[in-house]
Amino acid sequence: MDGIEIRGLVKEYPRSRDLLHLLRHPLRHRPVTALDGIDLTIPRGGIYALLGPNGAGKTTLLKILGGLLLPNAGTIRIDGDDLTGDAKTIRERVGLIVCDERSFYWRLTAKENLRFFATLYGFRGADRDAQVMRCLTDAGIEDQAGTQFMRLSTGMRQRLAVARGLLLGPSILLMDEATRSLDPESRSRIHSLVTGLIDRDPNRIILYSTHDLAEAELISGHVIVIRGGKIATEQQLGANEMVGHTGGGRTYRIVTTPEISPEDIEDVAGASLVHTQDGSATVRVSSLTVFDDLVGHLRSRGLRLVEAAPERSSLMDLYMASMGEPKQEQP
Amino acid sequence: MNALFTAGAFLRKDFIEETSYRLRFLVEICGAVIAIYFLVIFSEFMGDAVAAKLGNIDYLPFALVGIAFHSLHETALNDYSRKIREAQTLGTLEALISTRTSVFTLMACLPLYSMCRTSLKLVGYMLVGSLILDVNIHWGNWPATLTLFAISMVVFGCLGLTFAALTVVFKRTEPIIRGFNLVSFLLGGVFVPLTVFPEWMQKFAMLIPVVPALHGFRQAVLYDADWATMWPDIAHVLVFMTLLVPLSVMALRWAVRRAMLDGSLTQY
Repeated sequence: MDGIEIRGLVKEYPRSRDLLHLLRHPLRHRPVTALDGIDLTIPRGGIYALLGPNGAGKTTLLKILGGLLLPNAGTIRIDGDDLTGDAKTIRERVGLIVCDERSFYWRLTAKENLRFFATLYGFRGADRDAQVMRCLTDAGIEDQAGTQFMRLSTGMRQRLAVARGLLLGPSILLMDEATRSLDPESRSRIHSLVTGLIDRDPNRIILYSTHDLAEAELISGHVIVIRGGKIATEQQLGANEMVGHTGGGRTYRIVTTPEISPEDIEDVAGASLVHTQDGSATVRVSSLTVFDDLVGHLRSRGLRLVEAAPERSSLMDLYMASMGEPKQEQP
Repeated sequence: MNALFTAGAFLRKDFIEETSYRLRFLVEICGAVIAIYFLVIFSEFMGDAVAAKLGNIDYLPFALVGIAFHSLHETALNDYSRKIREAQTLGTLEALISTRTSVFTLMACLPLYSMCRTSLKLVGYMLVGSLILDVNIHWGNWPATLTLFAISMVVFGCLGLTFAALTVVFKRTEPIIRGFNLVSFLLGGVFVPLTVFPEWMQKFAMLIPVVPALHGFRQAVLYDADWATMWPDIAHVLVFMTLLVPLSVMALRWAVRRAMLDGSLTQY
């Protein structure tokens, strides 16, 4: 099978014991179970949001898939090849985006940092420099190439981290809270960057760990909820109880002046009118780019956008149900 | 080939980092000048006492070569572990490991810049000795000198990697490294010739890699020794190399695997 196939994955960490505890109970060493028999199949093509509370095992799962940790049991197959325990081959096939700003050299410029990491990824000479500039451009920070890392803003640093993850152009990309502590504009840029990656290579897998349900809804077509080291829910957005989604697409309620008509939308590829009601229209778009096109198209037809809001979905309900919480009341 | 490019990348990166501190080189030179100045004063006092006990020995060249060469050993021992700890605490280790480069190559390259800098310092000490302090430095048998220097660097590097493996698993290994450094400094013949020690201690000192390496290096640069004279020391260092290369590789592989299993590779 093409994609990632995980069966019975178990990861246990030794319980941290200080000297006093060790002296009192020298033989007792119960490990902490971070992943408890994960079974997961991720087919190629799409952004998969990995959700779950703190300590659920998201980072551990990403680190194992990124070749930074070895599992205690279970198997990992990537595109049909059993790579369990072969961290080096995993690292060659999978790109783990380490978003921690401490993972860069602060006194080097953005470009020097990427040049250094590009060499470790196996790029040489002119190829390396071209690749570095391409990734800086893709991340929208080419004008900051000569700025020392320590002088970059938090948003720029996160984008540089994403640029580093793109150096290899991996077909499987793992991102751990890539937009943590970013302002809305920087978040939006990273979202566009991530969705753009799928637009360019629809066969790519992006496993995107986040705490933010709205972010998960915005960029991904599938959610995987992990809880207590087990997969609690795996759901394609748009299926059954999900309202306002269709596999990576999204539904918006738009209000314009003058009022929108079906003809205003039919020329925009990837957009369709669901229904109109009380002066507002519910439209479905296949991606954020299509939404941008739609807004431009409406403007060109003389319609002014008064309001645009994503339709409320039941992802929160799904998440809370996965956590064992009762369903939230509809507003 | 990949390892060479990786080494080049680390050297370049560390050079840029170091030169970003404007006074870094000036401070380094001041430190070396102070060390040499005190060494000269120390030699004035110690020289006669050592010569009286050991016969005709010119103490300043002896100590100058000893301290310069031992600094290589000290740098290797300290910096492999220190750089790994630094990468763990700064947070760069995770990003480094997530690249395609093997963990072994990464760890071997981490302190490369320090090693090169200390090697240059060694050359600087020799030049200062030769040009300013009137020490008679010989480079006649440079092939043997370079051979001994190269294999000594491999041995010191392997020692450093072995201690680095311990650092990966146990984290705080500084006291062990300090202890090993002190023993090798005292018994390595840095400040006093080995012959001042009792015979059992001299035999024990033969188990310390820096002993034959330093002895051979002194033979070459102070007494212009030929291959035949240097061969016992070169062979001695080769024995250490034969033992330490596989030991360090195995130790580091074991340590990294263990740390990846218990999740402590990037913890500090």
